[in-house]
Amino acid sequence: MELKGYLISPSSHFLKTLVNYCIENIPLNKVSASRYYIVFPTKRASLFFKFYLREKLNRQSFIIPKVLSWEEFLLEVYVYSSKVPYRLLPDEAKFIIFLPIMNQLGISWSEPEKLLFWSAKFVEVFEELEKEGIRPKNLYYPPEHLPIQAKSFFEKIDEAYALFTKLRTHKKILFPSDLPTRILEDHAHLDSFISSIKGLIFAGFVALRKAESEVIKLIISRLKLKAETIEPLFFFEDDYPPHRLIEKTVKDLGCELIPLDVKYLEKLNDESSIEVFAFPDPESETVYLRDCLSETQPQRPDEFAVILPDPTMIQAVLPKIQDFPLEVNITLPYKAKFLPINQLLQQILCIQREREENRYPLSSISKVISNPLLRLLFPDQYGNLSRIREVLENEIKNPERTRISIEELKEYLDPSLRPLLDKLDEPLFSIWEEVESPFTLTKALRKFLEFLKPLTGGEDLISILNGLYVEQILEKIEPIFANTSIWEDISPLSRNILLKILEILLAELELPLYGDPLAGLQILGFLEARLLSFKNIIVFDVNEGTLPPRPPTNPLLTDEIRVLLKLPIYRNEIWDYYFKNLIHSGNKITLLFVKAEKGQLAEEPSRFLQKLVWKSKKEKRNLEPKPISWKIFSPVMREFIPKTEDDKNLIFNMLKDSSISRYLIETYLYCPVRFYFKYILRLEEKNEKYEEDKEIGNFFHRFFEEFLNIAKNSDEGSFQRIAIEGWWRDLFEKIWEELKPDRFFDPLNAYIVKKIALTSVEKYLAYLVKCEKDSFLVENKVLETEKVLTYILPIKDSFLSDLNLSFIKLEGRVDLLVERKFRNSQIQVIAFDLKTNPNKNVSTKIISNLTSDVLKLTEEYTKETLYYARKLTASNLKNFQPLFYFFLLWHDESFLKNSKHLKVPNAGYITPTNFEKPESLIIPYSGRSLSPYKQGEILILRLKKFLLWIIKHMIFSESFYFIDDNCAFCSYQMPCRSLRIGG
Amino acid sequence: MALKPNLIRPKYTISSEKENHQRLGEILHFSLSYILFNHQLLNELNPDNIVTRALLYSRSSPDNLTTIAYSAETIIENILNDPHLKELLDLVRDAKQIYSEIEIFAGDDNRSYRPDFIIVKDNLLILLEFKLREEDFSEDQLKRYIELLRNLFPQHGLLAYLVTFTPFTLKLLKKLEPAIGNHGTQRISHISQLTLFKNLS
Repeated sequence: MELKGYLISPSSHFLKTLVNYCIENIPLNKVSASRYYIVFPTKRASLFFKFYLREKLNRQSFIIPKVLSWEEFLLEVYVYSSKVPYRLLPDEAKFIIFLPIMNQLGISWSEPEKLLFWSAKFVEVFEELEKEGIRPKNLYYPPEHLPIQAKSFFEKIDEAYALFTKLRTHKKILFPSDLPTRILEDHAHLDSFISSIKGLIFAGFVALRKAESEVIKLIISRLKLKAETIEPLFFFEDDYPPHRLIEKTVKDLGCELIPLDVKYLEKLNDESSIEVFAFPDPESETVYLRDCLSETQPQRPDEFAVILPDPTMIQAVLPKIQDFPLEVNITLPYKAKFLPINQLLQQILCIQREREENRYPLSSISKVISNPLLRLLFPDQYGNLSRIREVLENEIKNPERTRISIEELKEYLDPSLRPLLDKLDEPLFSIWEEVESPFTLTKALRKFLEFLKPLTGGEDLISILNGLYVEQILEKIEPIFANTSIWEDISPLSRNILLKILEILLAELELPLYGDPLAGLQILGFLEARLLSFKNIIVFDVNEGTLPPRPPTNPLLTDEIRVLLKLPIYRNEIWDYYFKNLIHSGNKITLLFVKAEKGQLAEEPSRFLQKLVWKSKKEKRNLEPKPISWKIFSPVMREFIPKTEDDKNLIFNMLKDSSISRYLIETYLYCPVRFYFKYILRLEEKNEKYEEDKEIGNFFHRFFEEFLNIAKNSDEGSFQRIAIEGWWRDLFEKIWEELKPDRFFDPLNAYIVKKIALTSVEKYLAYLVKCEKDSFLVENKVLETEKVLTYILPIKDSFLSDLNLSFIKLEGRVDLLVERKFRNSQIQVIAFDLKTNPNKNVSTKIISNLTSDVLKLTEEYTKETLYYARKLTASNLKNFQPLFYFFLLWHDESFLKNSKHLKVPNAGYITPTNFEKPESLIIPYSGRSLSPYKQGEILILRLKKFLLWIIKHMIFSESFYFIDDNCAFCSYQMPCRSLRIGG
Repeated sequence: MALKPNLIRPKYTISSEKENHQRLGEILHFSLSYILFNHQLLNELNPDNIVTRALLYSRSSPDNLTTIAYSAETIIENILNDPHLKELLDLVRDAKQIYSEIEIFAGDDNRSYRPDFIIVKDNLLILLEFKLREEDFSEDQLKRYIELLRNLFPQHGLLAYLVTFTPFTLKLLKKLEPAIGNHGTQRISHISQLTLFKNLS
């Protein structure tokens, strides 16, 4: 019997043509229609096939044949044909089986990370061999560049594979990727399964791996033996001559390619066009899509498709179209790592690694408590969560205490906060502390998922994604830890290895989004779009590395090793085939790619795209009626993010319930969108770019804190004496050695940095000595370092009082409080902040204007008025910090009032790296006709008005405005850019 | 108006009593179909083997999976030894074909339906509806299946049975003569007198 294979040209609608064939050749009005199997490579194609079948039969009732994806078909064959079925576990668990074998082979790594990494890579080699039905043979000369353990693996690969299969059989565990191999091993009841088949069609396959084609051949051979002979059919999507991969498949299966009767063919519309657009960045692509969709309302599921070869782009696409009244089907693998609930779980695993006994680093607990999801889980506890965080953040400054247990924290907290911490304790901390075995880990995981339950029930997209995340953990991760046999031979099985394995599994976890029912806009991954046709298709990121995708890297499956193992080498032929078919599968195809500007990191346009353009030029004809157009798209910039009622309430509650730091107000003034990211969305600020600068800053803070503390406690605290004694140099060296702030620099720069730091201290000390010597400064006493100043600001403003906001608690931590006595007997208490940037100094000119300019602030809360307010604090808001501290200090009685002498508050910066002017103050020592105290009195009134105005802007302005200033230093550049290019 | 995502919703959430019942029902549903398909090998069938096959279709693991699997095995063990099984096997024995969960598309409401089990004999369709417990049975659902089968196969008579797993019972709910006789005339069948299907006409 010669098998028949039909070619359906890409100029015909593949699925509709197949439907035509099936309607005529399958008795859909009989129950036996359900004994006809129609197998597609993808689940999506099977869903569309059923859709067209229903449509063609025009509301008739009928029996639907068994339409399955290839994966579903293999499972069905195995379930019904095996004699001894094995338990199915996710492929991701395969590497765990190999761990004990590494021991037996004498392959080991001291770091668990490496052990797990290489185990996964070794197993991938077996997987490739099995797919090709090759039994591995030892390599006597493995490639030299491999780690010794990998070389050893290849030298014993035969034994390793034998042990692996033996263990898999012994444990009776099956992985989805092993299904074809396993069916070939155990198909004792295959005839019983075959007896239920009346017809078999394989539709749309291209390349089959050896084991897969062997399964098909096995089934065909059994079908031949049936009394009622069944002739399986193959339908391929291609023109004559077929692609070489199809030719190979046809040959492997022993098929004869014959043309399909034209009566079945359903031609695609002839008038099709291709357009190509270049974009400066991926965000602009999404804006283009939004513009396209704003004029469309797909009525049919095959009307409009957006194809995302890089599924992570869904993250950028959805926010752009979320307000559209569109039905949308999303079918692609969604990386779970993007979900905030996964990030929370990763955070929990991370702090478990940092735990010593039952004590966690304070900063780590603070990070967990700050996680925005907790606010969603406990919407009425925002204030309490903030208070716990504040307690932790205050404690972080205490060098005596670096770690704390949850029990100790409970004791330490105000009793009113304990019930909340009790609720958080078990799912986030204590249950994870008990993880010692796979079983206890399962328990912890389940507790955590139960804790998240309130986030999973809703009908909005995020709730659905959260629900799918929980489901995928229950389907793909929990069964691995719940299966006892998989762990039996692994020794030692430490908690660290268990947590690391969980982390690896979470990092790889994907949510297989599957859009159903079929309606509206289709957003598909590239592979999910196979065999489908649409009226309008937009393909994103037609760039190298995405289309074709960069193959996953496995150092053990290089071309060289593939040749040695006799494995085939694939060179993107299959992607070439898919792309060729894709550009024939729509009436209007729009290909988008990112065109790299000079010096930017972006991939080249895809080789397929280049080939398409080249071909059209060579043939001196346009591909389609419309010529290919290369346009650079300029995105529309968004001016603001609308402030919702929820946002306003959140800000209001924050002002009402929490201490308001200088940084919070300054962040708002700096850029309301930055404030939005930090305080509304609670995105963590992280700017690795300036890590080196931060290190030096930390060093200076620590050094001056210790240095001045010693100076403060010293009886003879003269700086002249200190300079002579020189003990500060030892302190400098000790702290430098401890913090190693130069560790990010190369040796030459490290030397220079240290030299500058040392000179800065030296020069600053010389400045203080000079002040003493000039007798301008009679006394210079350090009162406090790292001092928290607070002030309850009473609110008498009518707008704010109406909102029931009667006070705001302001808070700021000053680096240094100094009391200075001057020659004219005046005493000043100065709040200093230490800065490493030599240009950070107080602009006194702006301050002198501030008193009159503040009065011009009106009750309008717009972007323009905010700009005006910013200007009042000088460029880069450099006056804001000392002004804020001045405001707090002015109201602090402990330093100013309990004395028989009048003490004048002041504030400023110490910039040791500025050798000319290492100190600057908001009220200068001299040069004014008014006394410093009088100047302060006027300033304080204006400052109160100014701060209240900013608070009112936070509450009453309609939007969070984008401020284009110093964005290069902002941690939120990426999300900001993504939001901004939206129009 | 905002984007309306059509996405298959999660089937399994963190386990609940309802879900455990559902899971047990699914396992037993598959198991009984498997037994009926393999009735000729009845002596070789064992509950553990059957449940392992059933579990291949669902990978998620509720915390009491072992308990559920064990319950399923116990119930199957009982079914294999229950006299009602013989009655059920008698229905299958001389069948022309048997079908599990065939998918029927209904043109009138544009929806698909999956009756649990259908046995085809000469001019007779036997519909089996599997339920974990009798209280899970929905009259409306069965009524819709019958309506569809009657429309598609009016020349066949129809028997509708309810099969419950706990306890294992087999109840005839409805018996209908062919809707179109040899002369092509449509006949409305008589309703059975059993209380369970008093509302099924």
